[in-house]
Amino acid sequence: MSLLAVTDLSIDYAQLGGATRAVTSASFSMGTGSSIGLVGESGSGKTTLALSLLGLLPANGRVASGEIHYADESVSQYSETQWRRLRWTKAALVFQGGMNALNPVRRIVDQIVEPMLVHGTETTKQAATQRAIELLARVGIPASRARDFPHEYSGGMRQRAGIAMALACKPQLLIADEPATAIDVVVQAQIIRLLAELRESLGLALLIITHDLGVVAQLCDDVIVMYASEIVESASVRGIFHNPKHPYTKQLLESVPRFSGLRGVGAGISGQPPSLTNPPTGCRFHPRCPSVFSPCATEHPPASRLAEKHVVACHLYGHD
Amino acid sequence: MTTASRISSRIGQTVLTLFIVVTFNFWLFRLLPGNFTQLLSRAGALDPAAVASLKQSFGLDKSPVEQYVLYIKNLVTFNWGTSYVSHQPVFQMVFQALVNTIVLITVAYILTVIIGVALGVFAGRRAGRLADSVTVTTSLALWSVPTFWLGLVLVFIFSVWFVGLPVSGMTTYAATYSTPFDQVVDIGLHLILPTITLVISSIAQYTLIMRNSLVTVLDEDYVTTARAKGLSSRRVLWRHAVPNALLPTFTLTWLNIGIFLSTTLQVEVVFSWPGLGSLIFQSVNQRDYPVLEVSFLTIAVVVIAANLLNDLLYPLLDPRIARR
Repeated sequence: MSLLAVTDLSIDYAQLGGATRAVTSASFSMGTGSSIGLVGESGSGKTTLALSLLGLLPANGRVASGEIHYADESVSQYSETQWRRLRWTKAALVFQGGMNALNPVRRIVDQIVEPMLVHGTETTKQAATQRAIELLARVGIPASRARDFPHEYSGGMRQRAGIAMALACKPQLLIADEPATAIDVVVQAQIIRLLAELRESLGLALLIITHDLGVVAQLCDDVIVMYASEIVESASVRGIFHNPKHPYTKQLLESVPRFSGLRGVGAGISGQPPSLTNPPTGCRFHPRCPSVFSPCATEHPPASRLAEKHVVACHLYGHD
Repeated sequence: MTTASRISSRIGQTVLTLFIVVTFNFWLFRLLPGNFTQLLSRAGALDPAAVASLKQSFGLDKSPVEQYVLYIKNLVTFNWGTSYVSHQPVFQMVFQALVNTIVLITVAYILTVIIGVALGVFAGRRAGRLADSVTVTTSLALWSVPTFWLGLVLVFIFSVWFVGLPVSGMTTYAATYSTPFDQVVDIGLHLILPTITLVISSIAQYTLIMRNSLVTVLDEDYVTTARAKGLSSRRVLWRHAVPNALLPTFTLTWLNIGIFLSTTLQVEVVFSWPGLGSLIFQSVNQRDYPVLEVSFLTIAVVVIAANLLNDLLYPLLDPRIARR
């Protein structure tokens, strides 16, 4: 039984003149203690997908079709009260950079204590404060800094505090949206090490949303690549890095700058990510694809399974 | 910078500002063409000896710099002169008027801010919906109504159609009270119409600022964090969004005291409230310069004090300012 299962999930944003589909038929599942990296460019739908897992879509967003299951419970008919009980206890969010994820006018410790008292995972303020201080210590923040306000912390400390806060109600799944963006590389490495260590010791499952393939390589077992609201390839980290199949994935990997001794920048991908309001026909990547051929512009590529964990949606594969 | 040194430097700035205002106040009148004795001698055939003695009695024979020093000395020693008209000490007149104005402005301003902010929260959390548009449009429409006109309409309505609420003054004329409580009730009744006028005509700014500020804050990551934590929407709103959205409104509240005061002065005239507004109105009509000078100075002091209070109180709301 999986911890989280997403089946054929589509999400629409209502807009003037019709809906925009931000996530199209996404399916994946996560077991206890597993770690998946959700990779794609800005606007590919990865953050929307993450928010939908906690029922946090903006007012104009809605799940158009598909299912989300936690353990074996479907959340599709959840009321706001049921969502509220699920949030932070089953899955918690760690936001980008931590900068604005913490309320600027409330003390760090109070912000960590709050969900424990609301969900009743601790019954007294003293016990909750005690646990908050332990959690902060666990992420490397001394008790003397617990009563600080967010602006008194460095970027890295805020990110750590965000992680400590996410652990407050002992969730089994941590959804981290760009956990290592907007902080310097040394701190970034520390945050990644911290997440890996927490995953190990607490048996946490991690869903890492990022455009940084380096983060994925260090933290994840499996990778899902999204392009223009669709999952184009999913595989193990090994599969993606050593044997990428989809032309988009290949180009994404080539965009990463390497320290090869030669100066130069990554190849990059020509063109712009497509508009989701009016996506290209056929394969959505075809206008930017170097391997484009006859069916690409007209037929939507089916997903083909190349290996046990390796699935790709591209016309280059699966036409035996 | 420590809290103590921050406060003391801020108070130092305030004293400096006050000094500049006082100096400006003095030279402004001295730079105007003509003088008081000319005005008197034009009226009749005043001989030069009489003019000279008049000048001496008002200290006008001294050099401007000596006059300035004397002016400052008199100000500091509360020797503020007497009214040309009533011959009462100016200090006493202005002080009594100021107390009456403070009664009205305190009640009206607290209500304006509370109701304004409440409507702003009401509209902000319903942004884009009908209730939001109605609130914003209505408060803007009421803001566009001239205050004195609104006051006059209320006076008309309550003296012609619904007689019962007092429409003028601060107490019932020649009333005797059996208990102090009765007096408070009487003043309270007289407060109702001027307060309503002030609240209606000033509420829009607070509603709009609070609404817009809340709409911005509701989009912040920490509000999403609060929702993601599984808090109730009421708790997200009041514990996380509103305290942040209040910050700009709080500053506006203090900075706007000057503007609100000037509106209050108008309303006082309409409702014959015996405050600074009525006193200034009366003194302008009678060219009672000593009273005017002190009244203007008082208003300047009130505005400067409000700014000082804002700077001293703001850190209590926003920790980011507190420890800088």
